[in-house]
Amino acid sequence: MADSANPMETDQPSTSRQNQTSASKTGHGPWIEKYRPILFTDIVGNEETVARLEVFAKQGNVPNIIIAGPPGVGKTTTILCLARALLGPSFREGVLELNASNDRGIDVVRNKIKMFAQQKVTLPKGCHKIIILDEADSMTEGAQQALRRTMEIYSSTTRFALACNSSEKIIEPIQSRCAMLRYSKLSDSQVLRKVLDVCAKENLSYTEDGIEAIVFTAQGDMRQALNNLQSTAQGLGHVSSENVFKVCDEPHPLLVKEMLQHCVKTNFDEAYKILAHLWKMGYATEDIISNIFRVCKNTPMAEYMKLEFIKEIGYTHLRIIQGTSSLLQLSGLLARLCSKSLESSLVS
Amino acid sequence: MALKGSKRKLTGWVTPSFDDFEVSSSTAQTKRRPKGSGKKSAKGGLSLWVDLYAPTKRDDLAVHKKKIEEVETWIVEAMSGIRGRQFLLLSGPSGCGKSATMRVLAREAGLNLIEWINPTSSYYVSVFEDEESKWIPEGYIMPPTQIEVFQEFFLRTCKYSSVCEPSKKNNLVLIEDFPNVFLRDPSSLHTVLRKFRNVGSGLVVFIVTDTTYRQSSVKTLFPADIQQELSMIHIQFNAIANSILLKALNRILGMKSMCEGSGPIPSREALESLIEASGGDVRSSVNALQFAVKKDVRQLSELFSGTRKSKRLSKSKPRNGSKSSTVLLQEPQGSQDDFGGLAAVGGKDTALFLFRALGKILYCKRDTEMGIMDPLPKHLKAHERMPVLENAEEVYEKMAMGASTLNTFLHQNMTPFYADIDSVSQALHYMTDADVLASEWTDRGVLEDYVASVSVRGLMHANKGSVSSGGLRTFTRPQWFSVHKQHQEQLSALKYDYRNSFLSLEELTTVLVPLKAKVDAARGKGNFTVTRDVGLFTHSFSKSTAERLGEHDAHNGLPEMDEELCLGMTKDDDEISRNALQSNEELADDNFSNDDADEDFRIDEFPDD
Repeated sequence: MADSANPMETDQPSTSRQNQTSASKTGHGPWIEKYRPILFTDIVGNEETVARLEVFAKQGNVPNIIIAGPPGVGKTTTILCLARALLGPSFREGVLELNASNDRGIDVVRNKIKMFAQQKVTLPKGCHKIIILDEADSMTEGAQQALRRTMEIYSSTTRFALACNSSEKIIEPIQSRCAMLRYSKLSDSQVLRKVLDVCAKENLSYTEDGIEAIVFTAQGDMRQALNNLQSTAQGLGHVSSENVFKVCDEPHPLLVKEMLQHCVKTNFDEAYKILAHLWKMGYATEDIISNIFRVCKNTPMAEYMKLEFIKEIGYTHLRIIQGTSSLLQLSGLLARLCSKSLESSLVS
Repeated sequence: MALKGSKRKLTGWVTPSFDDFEVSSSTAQTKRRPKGSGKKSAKGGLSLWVDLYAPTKRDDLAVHKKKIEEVETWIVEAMSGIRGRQFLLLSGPSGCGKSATMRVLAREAGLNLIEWINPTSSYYVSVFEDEESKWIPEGYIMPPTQIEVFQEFFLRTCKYSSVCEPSKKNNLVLIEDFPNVFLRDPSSLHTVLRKFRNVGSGLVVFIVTDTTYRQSSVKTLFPADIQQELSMIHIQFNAIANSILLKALNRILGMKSMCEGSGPIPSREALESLIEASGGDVRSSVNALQFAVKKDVRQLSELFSGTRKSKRLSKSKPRNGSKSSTVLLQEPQGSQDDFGGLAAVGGKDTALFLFRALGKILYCKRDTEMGIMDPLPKHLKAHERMPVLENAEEVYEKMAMGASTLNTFLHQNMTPFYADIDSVSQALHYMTDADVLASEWTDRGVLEDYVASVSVRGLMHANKGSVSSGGLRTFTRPQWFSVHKQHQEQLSALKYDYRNSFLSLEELTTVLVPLKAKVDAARGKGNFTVTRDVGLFTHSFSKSTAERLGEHDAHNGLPEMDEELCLGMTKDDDEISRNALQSNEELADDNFSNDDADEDFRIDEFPDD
């Protein structure tokens, strides 16, 4: 399929580093699937937990697990790896995967999950069927209640693996029946390593600031990083910071950073120039404000200033969410930010 | 399943009607009889430790002796046919051994234990389908509804004893997996029970799990009047004490080494930290143990190293009254590593994990050597601080906890960390800002990060670092949850009691109920607790709740608190001049009733410390 499609790929980059072979390798599948780790050793981050699961996979008899953590840190990947390692060739028959897009009301738990748990599947000795419930925190409480007894009754044949973003939405009886594993956000260096790895494998042309931009926009979310990388590489060919922010449709953080620094120095005119520029470029108010927040968190400034800034940005974001997404709100924010370091006599 | 197939036996009358049920009862019987160690090691690779090492004897139960005795008394009395000992209700937090106790005792008493399991329904009516427009062929028999199936099961199992096991005369029906209908419409359950009461002779045990944060379904499923009507015995289980838990884990490790040869045994310290993390939940601690023991044991202790450190510290300075089980917090000195290590394997979402995060925020260690990085202009010098060691956002992200929940915890525990009223007011100022940001519930997901940043940074900033001399402090669970829960329960109880009243809820809680409570009190009667509880609201509440986080007491603190509240009132009320209190009461009541049933976490009360 890839071969026949090659001549058609007009938007494929004509950069010198991009050669024919890599294009045929690229195909059209999303890279997050293409580069989804299959072995435990390939999983990025949370090494301690992953190593422990690896031992379990070798010895069999894994307890029910809940993996909790922010998006894009490899929760589902870990569970799939585990299932693959445990079941091997019978992966297809032995695994039931349900995520939030599946209907998961109480009926599904009562019927589909129970039926699967009752089903007889020929598995190698010492293996269990695995039911994967992705995004389990979106399950209704009733469904979770119905699940708890099921988990116990079929424990001799079936294991559950749950993935969720916040563990507090999982009811206590279920937490009690599982070993809870907490995943933390990936560090920038971990994301960077993987991104560079993919770049090398895909033979992309990139600049360093481009990769930096990818890592910045990802915020520790590997899925986002690879998606952005792929969209930039396939859409615009070259991975540079301009292209990345064009693809992600985000204001350039350097501009925003400059704007904030002007605010710290109470230089309203300069700050407003940047804001007006961003506004003219057509960015949505919400994109601008969330970008300001993100940049503000990472910009070095005095603790007090940062705190006050975040507070003001928060209030502005609240208003924008409530519907007043105008330039006026943003300019008002800038003015308030500028006034922060002014002496009070001048302000009043 | 394959294993089960060979061991199938008919255990009860209703067995053929649903498949699940049979599986369950055979599990119950085969699993819980680990006689020979040979059989166990063969199965060892397949079962969860929770099943494999389930208690088989009374001595193995990790439950307080008194509770076991209470349950046993009920069984003996019920079997001897004392009237009004037909129903038993067990409640308690998850993993405190309710079901295990019942099973063990039932076996010892020679009862035939039958558990109700919700059947898989083959028939499915779409909610959106119009019932009337659907064509049903003549003579088509609709499959029975859930209630009908349940009722059938219930009446039959209770009436007839098992044919296959004639030695076991009496049936004991265990209902843990309540059909969903009953949770929505408890009155249908009550109807079934009333009907049964006139017919059956078997024993019925209900097991309901309490939750920490939400209103427990005990009160909705079995309101007080139903309990009275059916003369139901209610036994409340508490979370398991750490010492008993340790014994249980040691027993498991002993059994494990007996049948699998001498495996590595984790150190006592490692076990203790694991128990601490599980918060009195035996099931979760066994799960965690199974998970943790797998690898090298040396790593187990490393895994919990963060915990161990604080543990050792708490031992070296035992305090009066509260023993080492009180989790004391040292000033966090560890770096990211131990934080991450602790994050790797935890039991439930319990305290210990929170401790470290809270400690990082509230103690707010600053780097004293680096000097000030970004100087502020002269007039803001008061706000200048040494650089903080922890990044506020990082701490928050590692917690995997909602920002509003975090805020309630911070709010509960913040006051002792500030030296003067100015810093307290400054800190609270930022917390209120965060609260405003959190108020927009439709967009909470978007603003969550702001909420956390503002409150955490605000608390850190307001802390001038002059109170570090105190050293160790205990953290407590927010009262908000227990107050909210109690409020919910009392509201629903009131609604039920005054269901014939035409008054609105506000009028009811502020006018009628206080009046009635006063009248009752004056006439020296009025044992009707709900009216008293709501009508005579006093200050005794704030005194009674200082639940220590993570200690096992934290869990049983919830039910006990209610009792204490009632006691406090009966003692206090006659003396205290009511006029002075009246305005307060009504205010408090008003606040409570405005606070609606939604589940958002707001900060409503101010702990007076």
